[in-house]
Amino acid sequence: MPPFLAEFLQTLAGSAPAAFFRNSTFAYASLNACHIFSIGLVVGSIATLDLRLLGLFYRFPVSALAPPLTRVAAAGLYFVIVTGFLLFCVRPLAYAVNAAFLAKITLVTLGVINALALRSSRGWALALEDELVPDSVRAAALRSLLIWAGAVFAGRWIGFLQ
Amino acid sequence: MRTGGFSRRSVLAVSAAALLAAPALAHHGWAWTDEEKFELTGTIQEIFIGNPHAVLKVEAEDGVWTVELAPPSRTRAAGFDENAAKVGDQVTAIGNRSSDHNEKRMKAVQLVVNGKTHDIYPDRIGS
Repeated sequence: MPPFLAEFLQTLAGSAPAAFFRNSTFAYASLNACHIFSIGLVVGSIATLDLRLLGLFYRFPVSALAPPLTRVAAAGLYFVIVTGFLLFCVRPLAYAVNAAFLAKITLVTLGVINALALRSSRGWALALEDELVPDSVRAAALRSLLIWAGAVFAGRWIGFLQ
Repeated sequence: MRTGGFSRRSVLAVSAAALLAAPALAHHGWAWTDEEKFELTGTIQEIFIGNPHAVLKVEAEDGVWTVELAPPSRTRAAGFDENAAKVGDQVTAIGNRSSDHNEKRMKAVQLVVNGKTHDIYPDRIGS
């Protein structure tokens, strides 16, 4: 780990919120619950949309489902990041070298890139306008399901490598 | 409306596989450890007292062990706080080791360090 990064992580660990969540059982458990709730929002909404794009629930138009589901996912992602950052601050130097944590961060980044790329694609515009889901969009939906499932798996694994 | 590409069945199969892949283990409790007691003696390399539980890294003859303690409140209540030990101190941890013996990991019920005994899980000591 480069010295500046170690120093930065040390500063995070020494911060007041880090000390608070490190020591309070109730606060830590609540923060953990908020993190899991946010994960539920992201995965629940995105998996529903992905399954629709893959051909399930085809009676319900993509153009009607996509806006609420993506908004819930975006809000969930925001809370996932805020609560996740606070959880990270409790023990940053250990998490920063934890293989499962690094895998999770990579997968979340890939999941976000995949979602943003999908939203700016021509295929997505087609799916919204004509209710025609091109194969490129289906492929993105399948990638999305696998990436987010992998992120949850990797996240759960963090504690086993500490 | 188009439903081709991936069949409904294959979508369900992939989703089910993803769900089943989530670990059924819990990291808490004692389900992952041996029944019988285990004792480890070594030099403390690292001390973490905090959530979700306190952890020691202990260098023993056969390598570096991860010794899991209780959540911070319980660990401190047993007298093992920031002043109880420092890196380099000798420690003996009594508890249960991981039932996967390739893994150098245990959960301590009692620590002996600097002439003091800390009973972290008193009800489990001696059983």
